[in-house]
Amino acid sequence: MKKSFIVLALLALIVSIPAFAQDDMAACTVTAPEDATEVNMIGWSFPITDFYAAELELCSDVDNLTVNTQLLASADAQEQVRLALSTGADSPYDIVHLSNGQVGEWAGAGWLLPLNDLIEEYSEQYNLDDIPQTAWDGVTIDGQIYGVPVVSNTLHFIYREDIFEEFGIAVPDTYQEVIAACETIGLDNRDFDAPFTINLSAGWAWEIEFFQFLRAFGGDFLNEDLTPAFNGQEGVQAVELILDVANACMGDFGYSFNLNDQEVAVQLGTLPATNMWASRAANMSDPERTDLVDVISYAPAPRVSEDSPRAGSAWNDYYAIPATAVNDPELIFQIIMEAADEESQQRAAEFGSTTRLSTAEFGGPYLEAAGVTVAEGIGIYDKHPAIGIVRAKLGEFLPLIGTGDLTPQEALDAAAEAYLEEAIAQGYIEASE
Amino acid sequence: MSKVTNPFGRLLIHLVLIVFAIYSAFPFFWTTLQSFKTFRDANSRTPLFWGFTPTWENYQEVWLRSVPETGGATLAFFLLLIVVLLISALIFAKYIPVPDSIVYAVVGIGFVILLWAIPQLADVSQFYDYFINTLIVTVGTIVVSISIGCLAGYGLARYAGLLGVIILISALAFRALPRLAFILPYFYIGTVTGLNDTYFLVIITLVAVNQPFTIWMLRSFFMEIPKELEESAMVDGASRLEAFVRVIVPIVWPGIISTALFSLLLAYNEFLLVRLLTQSNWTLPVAISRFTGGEDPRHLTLAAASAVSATIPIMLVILFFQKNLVKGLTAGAVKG
Amino acid sequence: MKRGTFFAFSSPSIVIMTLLMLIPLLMAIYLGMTRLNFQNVTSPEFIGLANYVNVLEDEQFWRAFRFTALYIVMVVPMVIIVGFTIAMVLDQVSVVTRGIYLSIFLLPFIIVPIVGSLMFKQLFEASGPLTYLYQEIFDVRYRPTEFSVKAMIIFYGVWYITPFTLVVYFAGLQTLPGDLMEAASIDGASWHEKIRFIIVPHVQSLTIFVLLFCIMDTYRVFDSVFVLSDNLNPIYRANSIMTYTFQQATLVQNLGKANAMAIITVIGILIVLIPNLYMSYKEQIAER
Repeated sequence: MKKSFIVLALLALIVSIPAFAQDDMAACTVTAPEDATEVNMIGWSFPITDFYAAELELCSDVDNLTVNTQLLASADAQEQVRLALSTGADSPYDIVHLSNGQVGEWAGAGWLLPLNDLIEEYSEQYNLDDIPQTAWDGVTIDGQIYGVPVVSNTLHFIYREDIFEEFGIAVPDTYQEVIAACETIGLDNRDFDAPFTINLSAGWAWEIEFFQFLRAFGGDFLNEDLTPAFNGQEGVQAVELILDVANACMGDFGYSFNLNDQEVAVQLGTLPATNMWASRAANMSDPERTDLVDVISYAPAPRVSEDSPRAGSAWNDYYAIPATAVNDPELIFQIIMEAADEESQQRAAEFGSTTRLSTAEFGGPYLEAAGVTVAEGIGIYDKHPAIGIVRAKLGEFLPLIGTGDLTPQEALDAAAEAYLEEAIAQGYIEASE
Repeated sequence: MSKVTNPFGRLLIHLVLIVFAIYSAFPFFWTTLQSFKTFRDANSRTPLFWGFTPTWENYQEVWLRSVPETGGATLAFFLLLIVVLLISALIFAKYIPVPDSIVYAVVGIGFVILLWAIPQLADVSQFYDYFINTLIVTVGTIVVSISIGCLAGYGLARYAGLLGVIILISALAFRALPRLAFILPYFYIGTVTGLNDTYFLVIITLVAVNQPFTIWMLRSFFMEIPKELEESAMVDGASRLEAFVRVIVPIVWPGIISTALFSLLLAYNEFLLVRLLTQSNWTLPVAISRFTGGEDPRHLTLAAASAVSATIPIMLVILFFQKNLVKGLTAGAVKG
Repeated sequence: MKRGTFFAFSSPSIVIMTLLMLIPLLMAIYLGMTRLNFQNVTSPEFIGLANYVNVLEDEQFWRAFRFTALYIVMVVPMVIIVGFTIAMVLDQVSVVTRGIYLSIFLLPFIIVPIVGSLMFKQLFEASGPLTYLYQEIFDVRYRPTEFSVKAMIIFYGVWYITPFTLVVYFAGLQTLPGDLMEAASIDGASWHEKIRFIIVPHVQSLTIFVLLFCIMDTYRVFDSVFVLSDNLNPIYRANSIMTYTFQQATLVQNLGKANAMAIITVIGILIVLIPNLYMSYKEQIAER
């Protein structure tokens, strides 16, 4: 009896299949390899990298070529890359996605292939001069270029014009003004999830916010001699300001607000303001997702005090080739270029901010705010491999401040101690007596 | 136990069972609903149980790299029709006038051909590859695990020496240990030998972590068989192995299927081991964990669609073998 | 059966278990004594017992331990009580109806845990029906907090494991001698007396079995914690021992300490299990 039901249910399923929709895409122009080749890419997904992944996969139409893209959550994707590349064996991946945060760690460890020759060879064909020097600089160590910049990114301020007007709030230029704005709107205002959020929902998210605030206060991760500098006075100031913002604007709720929650809440109108990655801002002007396209506005990242730089960094995301990749680097480079060429970046601009100067005009209304943030912001991570350790340790200890386990000074000192131990063990710092 | 007879009591009993059924099935039900919603409907702050326009978009996006311009619906129709025919053949095998084993073999080959043909006919996405990986890993684990497990289970059921006891007890202890105590060294072994990211390493390690449970369970089934059976076969001139294969295995077959179901669930479900030991040949649980990081709002519906996609095959298998599963669950217990 | 034949039959299985369980375990003990991360995977550096000491002094490890203990203490009794109760009720209905109910009840057990917890989480998303219900009833906004995430993990544990205890108890009830119950009825025993004096003693050995297996499986909880705490988000402080070990290995990239942690867990669980292993040993010896 029961089994006949299964058959009936499956038949019903078949009958209900509606007509499939149409979809057209541009073709891939890579030269077909002689033997069957499988190219694997790993990365993390946000709207514009999803688009690029689809572009890369188009190359599967080329004879003898299959391109697979594997997208995970960011921390998980990075973990997979570490698992794969740390071993020194043949890499299962031919293309890896990385951002400024990983450049020092991965390139410094010798995991990535320098691309200088390929870039020179193809510079003209793909008009690579169109990508600004600053983007290349972010992935260059000692003259070796380790990746192709595909996304430019920063955290900027996004707010609801109409609500700010209603409450008589001017667009904040400093976090002190942000806190004042939050107090005006009110933490217990039942119309909203919270007045404003920054992303403190994970260790890496804490670390990114901390880095921006720290640099804006004039501090930095490391001293010249690679000893930790982040647990000094600026570090404590940075954490305390983050906590002030969190307390005034997010309450208990806000700590769990991840990027998804922020995005959906803004689209649904339950979040009047937030700090958002430029790479996601495009979704805010997508009428299929929100009715609020006309009232969502963008501003540069706030400063930590009136004369400080803006607490926003100049991020880039890159596609790189592992040093241990098995396939022909020239072929892989061409495939990367499928995603990074002018034609595809023009279309990518719909999903996030691209790297080519010539594609700027295709981008969304957030680009100006993002541009100002980058220009007046705090720059990028240093590219020393020790930075990877700092980020890992800060990611481990900073969230413990939010949970009330550690005071800012304790957390920073604990991270500094853990960093020192590891940096000495890896030979970046001489052990002191 | 004596049955409650008063009508109010009967009503109450069914009420309790229905509430518990809803509780058991509701997460699956809701996820299925979500998987057929558009982005906006799925994110509505008032949960929509009805009044939304169902869409296949999420399933298309999970399973297909690109949607064919024409003929997609026809193709999907015929593919599903073939699946239904194959499953019907399985269900009604005993009415088909050829031996059951031939029907099963034909259906099996039919499924393999179908799985091979789908990527030639449609532009399938990575998810299909992960699905195939899962099938390979699951089938590989079951075959290896059950073959060696049967031999060992039989040996342990018939051998009376102290060594047998020691092996059984060590196996029980291993069964209880945290999996990470093995997986971290596996990762190390895989790195040193270059076996990381291969089916071989995943299958062989899954077999190993599954082995203690398998031999205990199979042993309990073999213990139920009287010794006289194989002894009489051996008197007739069969070797011990021949007697085992020809006489014992057919009798214990339902028990072997029960054990195989547990191997299936283990291999199909495994997340941690596959996550650490593979970098590109993922199975479904790892592929689906991509949607859990909260970094893209569209993941809400895509997660729902892939969750339902991963659940349906296992539901079909269990519906066929529910009796064996229940038997397996109670095998060790009721005797003990 | 002779010892030689026994080895002939069992050797493939024994070889696999030795090579892939015993040796890795010994390796883990050694790797726990090394400084090992992703930069020096091929050349670990021996540092003695430092990692082991480090684990025992690690406040977060003990927090993970406490949450795991809480999880066991909450989930195990609950699945036993709920499973037993529903089994008793299920025993009251006809055979055909049972089959239908049972296939629905088994659903949580057969769904891939990663997927099951993901489905569970969908109920608590901002758009989820339970979130909506909570907000309507209590008239406050629901956001995940440490408490709610932990409660969700425990709730999922109960949901996921109950089918196992249910089926075991249900099978146990089928072996209940009918005449005993009849005799009790004739003696005028009330239903709770029957439960207390006949049924509970009858399923006692089952309860021990279920208890053992539930503890063995619950202390290893990983998948549901991973998904329900948003990929091990530290703000929920909901690490179990397993997830914290995993985090040490991957996120913190301290493979040496992770190995040490796994070994300490092994020692811990063995201490809990030794009486039981000894009992099984006695039982097996007696059977011969």
